[in-house]
Amino acid sequence: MKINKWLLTALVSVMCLLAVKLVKGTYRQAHPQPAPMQAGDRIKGKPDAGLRISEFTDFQCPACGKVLPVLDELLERYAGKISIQHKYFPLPNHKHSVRAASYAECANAQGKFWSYHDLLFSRQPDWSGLDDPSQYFDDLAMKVSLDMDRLRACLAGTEASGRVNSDKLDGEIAGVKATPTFVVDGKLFVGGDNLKAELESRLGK
Amino acid sequence: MNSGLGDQEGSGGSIMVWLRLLVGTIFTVSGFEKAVGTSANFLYIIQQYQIVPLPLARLASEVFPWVELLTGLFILLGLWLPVTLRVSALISSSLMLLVGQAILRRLPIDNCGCFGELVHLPLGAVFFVDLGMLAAALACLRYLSASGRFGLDRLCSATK
Repeated sequence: MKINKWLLTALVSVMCLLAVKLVKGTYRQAHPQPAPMQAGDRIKGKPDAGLRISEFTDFQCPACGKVLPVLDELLERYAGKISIQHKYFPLPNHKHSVRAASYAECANAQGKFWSYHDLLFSRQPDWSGLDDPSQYFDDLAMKVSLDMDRLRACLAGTEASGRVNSDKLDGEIAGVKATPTFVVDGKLFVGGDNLKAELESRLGK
Repeated sequence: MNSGLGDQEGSGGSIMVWLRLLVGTIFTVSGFEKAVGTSANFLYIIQQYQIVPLPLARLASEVFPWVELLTGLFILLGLWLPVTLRVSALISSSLMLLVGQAILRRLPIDNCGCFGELVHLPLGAVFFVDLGMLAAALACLRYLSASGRFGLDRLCSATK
């Protein structure tokens, strides 16, 4: 029997395509939906703005710190049109990310999230390499005048870590693998440049 | 293509078959992992190398996983071996250049992105993995009749 090589090639290619589609459609299906709004959400811009962007970020990720000026520029340029919802996404290869996120969530409980968030990012190189950054995080908390007793009670409880885990789960369901990742209207964009390009194509330069 | 390996259908020949299967498997797995993942994540990895403009990076994030996957699969099956081994050698050398320039420029890349989300390797290690892949592909090409054993190319030519 003569085997046609081109036919074999086509057969292998089609089977390969089907296998990828099958796996992508079942096991690896991402559902990048806007994360549901909850009490205590951390949002920049008008919460009722037309386009809500969910930002999945990690306090120990250098790229997440570098993207902040880009986000501020976008919020200014598209004022009233966009809002950015902060979501915790501590990556497993960053050993202090979960702890930093818990501190930030406890600062959120005292209404000081953004000032603590900005400090964590601006001082990232100072605490990233520490064995145990807890004392450093405490010092930052004092800088933003957090009530330290409330902070300690919050850190000892499960609410803050529960919120961090719930955000992380939202990210995993959305298909987030790296940070910073933005979910815009059901689509994923990784990095500030890609978010900027998307907003420029949607809302103009 | 018959020199240096003695009896290419003997034990030396089976080493070449295993080498071909290794190259094919690595390309197939890494291509598959990227193809089933979200292209936005792979696009970001390409951008971290800071070498191609955004439109080209977007195109590469869609096309490259398929090229890698099909090249690997065809090598694994022994189909169009002279072509696919050359393509794999070209891919490995291009990746070495890409990784090499990132090392020289000290770009802050902590995930090479070579194997999708499966394995995270530092850039230095990736350079040597690519070097090994290039050497393996060239060896398979050099001893094509040995590495092509049990492949579909041979089956097709035998049935003509």
